[in-house]
Amino acid sequence: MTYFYKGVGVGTFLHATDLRTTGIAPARPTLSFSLSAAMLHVSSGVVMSPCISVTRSYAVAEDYAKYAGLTAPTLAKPAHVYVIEIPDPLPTGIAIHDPVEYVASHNRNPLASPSYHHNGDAKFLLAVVDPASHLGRFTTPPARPPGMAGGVPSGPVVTSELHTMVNSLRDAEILIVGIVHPAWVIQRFDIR
Amino acid sequence: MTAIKSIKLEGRIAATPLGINFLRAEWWGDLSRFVVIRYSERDGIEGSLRMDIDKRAFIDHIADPAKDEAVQSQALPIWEILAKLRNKHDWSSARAQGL
Repeated sequence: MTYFYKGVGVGTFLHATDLRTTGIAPARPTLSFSLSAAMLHVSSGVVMSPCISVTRSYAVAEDYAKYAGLTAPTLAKPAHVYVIEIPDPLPTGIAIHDPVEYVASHNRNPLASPSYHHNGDAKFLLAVVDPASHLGRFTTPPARPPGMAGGVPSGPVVTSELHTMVNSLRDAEILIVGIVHPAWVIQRFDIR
Repeated sequence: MTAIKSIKLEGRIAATPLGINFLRAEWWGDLSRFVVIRYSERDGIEGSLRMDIDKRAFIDHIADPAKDEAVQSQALPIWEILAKLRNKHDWSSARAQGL
């Protein structure tokens, strides 16, 4: 059995209801799911999308619930982590995507550019994961290969594809396209 | 009781042309990647937008598209302030606690 988790912070849109009663609908269910929709949702945090984010990690969901509210959770007004169990095989009208696999499957040609590859140094990935702690790595130009001249030095190239894959891996994130039925939301934990 | 920490944005980030004035960033978890940006509009009404520090973006939107576009355009300047000041803030706070 595979469980997914969804963190809901205090004061956010989903906090107003009990998802075990209402289920979960994406913010824009009429939009079609695509590579760009997935990347905007994961890498830029665009919530007006056809996707619902869930995670395979309870710890990630709890962190989100606790810290990504509009106010801090309290005893009287806790945040929540919901446990979701999706039937297997999937019911009609719902799809589940692993953003890492989805982006990678659209970038199968290593001769094409841009893809999810960067041209920074071997520690540049740390800056993608945690940019605030590695500010300089976004502005330090990558080393230029001997014999290659020209151009104004600039920071490493980082694509939305890379951001999406890294953020998804970090958060163990899965995208659900469709409506999550209330019966699939099987448990709720209060987070204070 | 959760301790709320904050960094003042007023005076550091200019108000948008449509009159949205960024007041401060607040957070309640030192290691958290989320902060809440408090702002006020011309009519004095205050609002809040969550920002994901790692994504360098707001994860909330304002209903009015013109206002929202103006606000979203300030995400990176706000992020730069937070990236510089929040780490120092947390470090000095940790030192004060003897950590």
